[in-house]
Amino acid sequence: MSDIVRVKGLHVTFSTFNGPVQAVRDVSLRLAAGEILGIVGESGCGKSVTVQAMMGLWPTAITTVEAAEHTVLGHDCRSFTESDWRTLRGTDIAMVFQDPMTALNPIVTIGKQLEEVIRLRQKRRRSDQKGAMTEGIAEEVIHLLRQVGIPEPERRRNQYPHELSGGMRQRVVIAMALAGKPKIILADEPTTALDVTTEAQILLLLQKLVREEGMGMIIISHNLRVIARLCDRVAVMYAGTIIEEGSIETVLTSPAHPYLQGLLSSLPESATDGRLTAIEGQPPDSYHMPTGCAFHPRCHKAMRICARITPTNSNVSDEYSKRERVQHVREHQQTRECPHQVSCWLYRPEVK
Amino acid sequence: MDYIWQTEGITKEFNTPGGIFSGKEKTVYALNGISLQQAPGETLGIVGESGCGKSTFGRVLMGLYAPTSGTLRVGNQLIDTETARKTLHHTFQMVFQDPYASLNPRMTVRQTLEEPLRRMGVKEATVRSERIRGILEQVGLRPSYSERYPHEFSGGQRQRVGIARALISNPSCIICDEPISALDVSIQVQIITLLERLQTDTNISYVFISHDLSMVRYLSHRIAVMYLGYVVEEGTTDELYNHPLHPYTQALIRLHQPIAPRMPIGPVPQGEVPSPLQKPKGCPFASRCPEKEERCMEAWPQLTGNDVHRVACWKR
Repeated sequence: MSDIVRVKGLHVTFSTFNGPVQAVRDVSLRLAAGEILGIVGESGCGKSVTVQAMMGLWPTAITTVEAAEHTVLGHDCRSFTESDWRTLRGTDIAMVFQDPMTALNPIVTIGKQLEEVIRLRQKRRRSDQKGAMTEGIAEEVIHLLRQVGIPEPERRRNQYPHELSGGMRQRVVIAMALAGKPKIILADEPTTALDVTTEAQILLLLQKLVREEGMGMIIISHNLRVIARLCDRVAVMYAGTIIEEGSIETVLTSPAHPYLQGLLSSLPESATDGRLTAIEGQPPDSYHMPTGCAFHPRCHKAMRICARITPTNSNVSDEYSKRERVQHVREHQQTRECPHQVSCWLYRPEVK
Repeated sequence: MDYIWQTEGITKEFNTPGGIFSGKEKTVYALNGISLQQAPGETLGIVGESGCGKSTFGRVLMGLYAPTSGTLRVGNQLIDTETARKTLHHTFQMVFQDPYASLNPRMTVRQTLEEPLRRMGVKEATVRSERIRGILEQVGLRPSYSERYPHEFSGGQRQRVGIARALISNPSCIICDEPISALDVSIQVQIITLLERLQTDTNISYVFISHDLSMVRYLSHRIAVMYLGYVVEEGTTDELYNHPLHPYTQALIRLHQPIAPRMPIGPVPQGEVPSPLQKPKGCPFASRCPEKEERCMEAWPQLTGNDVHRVACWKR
């Protein structure tokens, strides 16, 4: 199976009044069709910036986006202009944002907003779908609203966003994403603004849609619970880099990086002996990144080398990833490699 | 047993003003008869989704809202007048969700902490600064930080200042209204462990208001589950968590299972929380309940049970 998104060595730098800020440093990601990839990390770790850079959403005036490889749906995006991006965004790639109220136009009914996306899609794909214009748009709007679980779609489509509850609005945003018949969905904290019961409803819906339509989805969240429920693979980010990546099973059951280990043991439900253990300190300031591994000032396993040289990605252990690969193939009936990778000096044979 | 405070059938209604755009005047039924109490040194967790009235209840305790009906007793004293409510800050203090919005940006930490001491009548400057020094150390901040302004701190440190401000007037109970929701996961745990340590050191009580059941479970001795302005279930943490009786509590617990890869989302309560503009005739959860019967739509089930566990459901 081929990757629909491939990014290698992505760097995003913002120029600010206080000097350049490296928001994303050397990030590599890939996504296959039908796969759900989770990106998890605390606020300011660069997870949203990464995904927005992958969609070409950063204005070039203040941002430098560099990548060794940047392929989306077979297009090499490194030389893309804004108009090139526009042919992909909204139809082939769709986005679901955190706050549905700001993602929707408050003065247009939700039916009209959906129609707009459908028209756009038909215009762009006219060459391969002749005669599909204007017909059936109303039916499609109702079908989409029904697909995302909105009751009484015939009535609801004439309503404005403020007349809907938060959960319903997020369903409309998802319907808008679906209206373009996308191959990739990027969901940036899609349930953070919602209550737990509504969150669970939306997660079920996203999972069902991705599996049914065979789309690829990247979901960003700071909530490990959301990631655990939804994803096949997960990338953990800290201070602008991916520190650990692997299948959801391995990453959650045998975390390798001290940061992820700390994060998992600081969840209240994992306090088995009745005590929570906190990671001391706080994430680094992007203007004053520590040298070497960005986590070393907070790491209780830090060695001398950690403060000097930034660790690169390496497999956690060969034996380990082999076993995992077999398991992954068995489960998914596909021959994709999913090595468990970590950026930490502890796992480098030369340091041991 | 002596309770710090006790409420009996507290209700709170808000009237939304009518106008050209908003139409007729409406009434929001925020609290519909809350009867709870708290023992000294205990943590009472209040969980519920947004709009369930948990913050409103915290504000009624704090004296920021006067209840529409029902009684609040602090110790043996009945709080029924505005004057009595003004004395509630001796018993209760509050820690808010947004540590930036709840601190005055133009006041240094020292000024923020000095104000309650002045109001308490601590006249000697040396006593005040000694107290501020002590409290900063207690919440894990360097005493030298006292001349800094809120913007010079990180979110977690700001929340520590918020806790210090609540502690400095020696309250017997701190109302923590979503104190960690605005913080990052690794910082959340630092604040939780701080609250825990303070309780062991000073035997202070907390009312811990949160939507995160797993945090509430970790910190609380007792938990009250709220839904649409009602307490639907209340009990000791172990009892409530191990034998949840109300279908809503059961759903919440199911959604807060320990994290495991590919954990199934499981059955989710369908639909949404009804509008608080109408008082439901029957059980507030009936519209989403998988086990509802005729009588659930007819009358509101009382919160019944013993001291360990109470539930408001016709079927239990």
